[in-house]
Amino acid sequence: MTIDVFAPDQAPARTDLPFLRHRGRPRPAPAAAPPAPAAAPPAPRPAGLDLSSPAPAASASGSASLDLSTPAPAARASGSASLDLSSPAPAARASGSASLDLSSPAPAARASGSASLDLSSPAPAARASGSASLDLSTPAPAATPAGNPAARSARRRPARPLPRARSGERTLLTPKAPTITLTRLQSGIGVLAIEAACSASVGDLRIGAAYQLADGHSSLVSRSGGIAAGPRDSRRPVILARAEQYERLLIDLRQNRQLERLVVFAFSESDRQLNWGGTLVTSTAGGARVELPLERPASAGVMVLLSIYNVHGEFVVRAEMETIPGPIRAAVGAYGFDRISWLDDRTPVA
Amino acid sequence: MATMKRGSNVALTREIPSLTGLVLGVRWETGPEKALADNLVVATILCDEHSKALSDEHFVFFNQLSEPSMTVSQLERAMGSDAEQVEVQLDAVPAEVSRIVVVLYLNEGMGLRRSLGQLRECVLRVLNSDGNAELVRSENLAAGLDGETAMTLGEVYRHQGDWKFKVIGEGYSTGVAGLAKDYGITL
Repeated sequence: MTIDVFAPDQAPARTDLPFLRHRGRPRPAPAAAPPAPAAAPPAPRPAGLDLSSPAPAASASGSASLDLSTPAPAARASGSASLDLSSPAPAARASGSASLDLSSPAPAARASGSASLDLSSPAPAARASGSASLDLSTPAPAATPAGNPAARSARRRPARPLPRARSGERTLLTPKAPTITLTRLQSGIGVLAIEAACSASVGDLRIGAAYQLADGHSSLVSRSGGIAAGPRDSRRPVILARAEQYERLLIDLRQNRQLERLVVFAFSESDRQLNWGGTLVTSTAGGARVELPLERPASAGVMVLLSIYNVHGEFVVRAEMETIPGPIRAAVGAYGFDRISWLDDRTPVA
Repeated sequence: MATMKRGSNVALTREIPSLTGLVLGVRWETGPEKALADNLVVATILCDEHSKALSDEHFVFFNQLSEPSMTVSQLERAMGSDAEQVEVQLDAVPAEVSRIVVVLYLNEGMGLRRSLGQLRECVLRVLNSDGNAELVRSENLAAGLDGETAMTLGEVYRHQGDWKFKVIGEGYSTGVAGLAKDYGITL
């Protein structure tokens, strides 16, 4: 693919820097916006579904239908659909940005039912593809922190006063405060333990992690996949997958310089639907606990729970909570882990 | 080359008035025990007159190679045969720093039970940073250790306008957590 530096709106989206997608200032949604989501079922990602049933969407609100008919490139030019991968689903892109884009006043003429024609056909295709659906499932948390006044004022302050995890205390990651930064000591002493405290009522939940090391090696750890260490055959693994009362991952912080990034995901061992619940607890050697509630409507597929980026020796821990209707391969692919060679959709070669 | 026993001290700047910088070198011999060597960590703590760390940023180790005044810095790669080296710019150390304590601990938690008692040798050396000549070295501090997982090796401290060096060699069975508690550091 060639990249034209003079046409940034044509550039393929970066999928390897998922944290960037939350940096855009969202456009304020006009009053007309609410009806569109309201017409949809309460599921968090109605867009794709919605579009395939044209009649309600068109009748629900003028502006919503206007927008949906907006051709995909226009939607992307507005800058809201940051996440949108170079994926082959124009319909998905248009719909993904719809909620943010409503403020762009499109001429009424365009409303005329073209939306239903246009969008209903590609929608199923979009749903079939794992990466496209990433877009649709972009959860509310992604948009809310930026829109939150507190977050906005925080952005004006110098970069330093970051939310910190206090040793011996618990911190809750929420949609409004999804990120916490560990200190250099918290990121460099002992181990970082990530544990999925989930009862049997959730289902056969398993966790795993995709990671990337400083030497370029990238792969998965997951007990259920039979890969209990990362790198798998290393004499000195950076990450271990263990199970005691719950499934847990251990990161050796003596080797924290080796770890560039990691995403933790959860899935059903038997590919069934999971009744999400419980808490993902990340704890440091000094007893700081970062808790992420796993409350979501029941769904199948893989949920990316948490990402950890090593930013110059400080681990930035972020709640992702993104459901991806596809196999593990699609889920970690959506987070830019594109250097893993796969044996099948849930097992890497090395 | 003088070898110092635990508890002994030497007046560095009185003996060598021209001394402006030090290198504190730690070397160890672990034998075939690879997992032990992999998990040893040297840290340097800048303390006030009450032997408490000035702040968590005054804990210098591999993930925080220097402190706010930049006068005490750990080298990413030690020169010579030391496993780790820490450079101290003695004449620029801020006045509120009374002690510069060198510690050694085992990073624990990955399920490998190790202790400093498995060390065959552990020596703290003091070098003149101008020319890297060794001034003094401690005795083998590994002798007499058993189940300890952390140890205070020695310290450079202010005394009547001079900098002195003292060999300590006190072990902790509570690891880095015990060290952190003693020096007032939040892990």
